[in-house]
Amino acid sequence: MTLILQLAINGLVFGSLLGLVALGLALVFGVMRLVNFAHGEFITLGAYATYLLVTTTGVSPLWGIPIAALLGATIGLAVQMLVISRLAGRPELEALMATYALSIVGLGLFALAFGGDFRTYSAGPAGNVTLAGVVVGWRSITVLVACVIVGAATLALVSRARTGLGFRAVAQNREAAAACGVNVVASERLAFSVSVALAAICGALISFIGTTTPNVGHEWLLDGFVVVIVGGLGSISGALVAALAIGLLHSFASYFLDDSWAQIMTYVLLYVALLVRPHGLLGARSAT
Amino acid sequence: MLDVRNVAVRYGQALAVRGVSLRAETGSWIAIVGPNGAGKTSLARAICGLVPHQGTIAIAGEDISKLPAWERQRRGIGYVPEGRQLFGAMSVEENLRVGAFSRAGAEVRRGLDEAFALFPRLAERRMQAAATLSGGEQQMLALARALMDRPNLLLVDEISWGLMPLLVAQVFERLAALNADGLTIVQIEQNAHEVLRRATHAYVMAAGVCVFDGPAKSVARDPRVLESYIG
Repeated sequence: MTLILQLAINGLVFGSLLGLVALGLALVFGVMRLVNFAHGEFITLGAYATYLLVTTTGVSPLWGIPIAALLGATIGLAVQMLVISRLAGRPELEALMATYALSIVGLGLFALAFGGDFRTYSAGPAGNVTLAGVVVGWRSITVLVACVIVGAATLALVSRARTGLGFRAVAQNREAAAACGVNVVASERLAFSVSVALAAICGALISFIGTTTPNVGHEWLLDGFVVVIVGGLGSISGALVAALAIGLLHSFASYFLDDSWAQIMTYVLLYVALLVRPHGLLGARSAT
Repeated sequence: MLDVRNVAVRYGQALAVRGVSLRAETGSWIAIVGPNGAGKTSLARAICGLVPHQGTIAIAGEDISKLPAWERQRRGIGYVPEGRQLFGAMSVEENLRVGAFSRAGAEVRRGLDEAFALFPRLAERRMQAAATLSGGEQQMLALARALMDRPNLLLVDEISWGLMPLLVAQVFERLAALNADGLTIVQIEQNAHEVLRRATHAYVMAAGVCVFDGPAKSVARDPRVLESYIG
């Protein structure tokens, strides 16, 4: 039983981070119909920003969360205005290729700036706590709590706030939203900015519990795409459910089989989901 | 109130609207009628800023030709689009809130109260997803949503499409009441006989141009217009 709980907690930590990755991807896909291949590099940005902050100033890595959020929101806004918005009205494939190009550029810049070294830091929450025989690191607890807070805040923004009402209106019918007075251009900018902020926060949290390399975001991105598709393209609540499910699957499969099998099972799940529920767990069958 | 001059709409090589001009005075009820493919909906979409257009469009003396759709809505244009274009996954109340997107707090609540007073059926369906409403209820919601921001001009496109005759009569009664309260209405309608009976002025469109305009009553009695363009 203790082992099951241990694996479940590991799965929840992994799933909650995956949820944040997918939340950003789903938000941008929902509002802008954009598959953002550069999302992984924004995760890397948050991870390196936190690493630099901690190693140069000595502050707690918790400060990395708001700093990464601010940095991500600003850079996201700039990228949307300078690159993405210029592709408005063009075929979706062109926008997708543009984000892929951004991803390659970002990957190259991180490699140039930091090399391929594995970067870690020792500052911040340390040690473990034992609950009912289950040993959990304080860092993992911090990541889990931060993911829940950030995820809940994002859900509240989308489902309760006026800004989120605009996001959802644009996502469902861009033209009708504009005719109702929703500034669709501002909504798209804000959605992209929030999405990049989420990616950067995710990167900051990943740097808590793992190593930072130029590839770190890219590795999470692929699983993030699986989550978004399994949850239902553009469905934020579906993405969160799928993230937790895949997190648990990954944790149990890694232990009882091995990491390679965990990856294989994740993509088998994607294949089955596409066959059985192509609109995703909570995705709409068709736009109304 | 509304001054449209020499407006043209092009989709690729096809010219859907070819230099149409029209005016709507404050408190008037303007009918735009004509056969399918006449360019009526394209003209409405141009007025709302939903398609690029040539020519000038002014509302209350202000040239809005270069403004995006949301800025035009904030200048007082309420739009009930063809096919309703509701936010199907959102509730009735959320659809109405989007209609008052540029308003805040108390104004939104007042708008909701007015919408539910005008359409009590929507109050009963308040938390229901728009996609699950009946056709008539969806049409009421589309109209209520357009009224949420207290427009000066209501642009209505094929509001009677797909509705039972009884519901069509009810919708026209609602529009008549709104017009009697001073709201300017520009209505595009296939159901020409009903709208010509109620409108003050009518424009007849065919093949992207305005082929005839005059007092609605005289258009309704003109056998050449009826035979050639309305039927």
